[in-house]
Amino acid sequence: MRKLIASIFMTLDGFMADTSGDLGWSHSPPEQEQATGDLLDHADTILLGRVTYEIISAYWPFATDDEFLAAKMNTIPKVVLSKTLQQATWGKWNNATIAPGEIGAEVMKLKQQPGKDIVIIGSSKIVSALAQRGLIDDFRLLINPVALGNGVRLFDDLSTPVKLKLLSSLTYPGGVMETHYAPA
Amino acid sequence: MGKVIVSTFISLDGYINGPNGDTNWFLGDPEMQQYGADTLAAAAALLLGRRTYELFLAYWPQATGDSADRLNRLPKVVFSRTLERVEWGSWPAPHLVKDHIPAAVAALRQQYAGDLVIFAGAGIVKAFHELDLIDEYRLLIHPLVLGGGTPLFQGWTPLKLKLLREDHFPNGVTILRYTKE
Repeated sequence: MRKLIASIFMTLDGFMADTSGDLGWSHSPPEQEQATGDLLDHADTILLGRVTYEIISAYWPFATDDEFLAAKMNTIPKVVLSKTLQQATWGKWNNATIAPGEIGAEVMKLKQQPGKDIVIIGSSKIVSALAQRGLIDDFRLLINPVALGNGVRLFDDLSTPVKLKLLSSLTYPGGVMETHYAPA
Repeated sequence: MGKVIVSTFISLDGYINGPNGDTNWFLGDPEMQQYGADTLAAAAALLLGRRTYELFLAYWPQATGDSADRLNRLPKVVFSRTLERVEWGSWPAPHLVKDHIPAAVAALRQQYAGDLVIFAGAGIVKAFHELDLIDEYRLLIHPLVLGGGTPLFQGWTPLKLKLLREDHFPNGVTILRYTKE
């Protein structure tokens, strides 16, 4: 079965954005961008929630090729998990589709297809729902050295705690830690 | 000059207690006990909130062993507006601070050269933060997502930190040490 990896920027107090949705606190040193590029090189599907889809589909299709991740973000097919979205677009690539069914079933269907890794970017609601169902194989958490105190929680609406095990960890210049966790 | 250090267990999503005050997710292993012992060895005094004081009082004064002896011998300060007196079994009683936290901490910094380690709940830690009294945070990040409970940093103004050091334990706990940027 294909591996599902969630790649997420977060603060050390568990937020993925401040109250206005801003990510101004996040650092992306070149070494980390390179690691994200490597992650995408091993993937053939990017999975998104509606909110993250709406934010990044307004950005990447219009980014220039000299932006390091632009080619990868644009050429890899995207699947948007949403019951309400009517249409998904992705500039001239036009490679975003909507999966409107029950989230666990949609993701199981994707995981059972042959292919490379599936990567979730951002999408806190999707990450929480899939974490609860034990469907995420690798949580790649980029923990920034900041506490926000308020904002959009990465993990919310969990009915029970999710136990994990630490797979690996490294530190980038600027103090961002990349940690990988798997379900315990 | 003593350094004020917050040392706390915390979940990956930033909670220091679970939804009903649960602490059944706290992990320990021999290496973590060594961290605890090292922390006590470098400590000059312990700074306790009321609830932590009451929890500790129910256990430590009667406990035996090297760590217990060390903890019991260390000078302690309890920060509480409601307690009238504090004790520590047959050991010397802690000092009680009801108000004027900055003056009390300034005096402690002058008095001790070693670490001043805070073991307290979110309320006291926030009060110390707002008074700009914390020099270092040691977060013992547990490998789980609680999804609810008592967040350590709830309602703080954003705080930028500098990562000093990371340590990993076989049970999946990561200790991150941060100082103010």
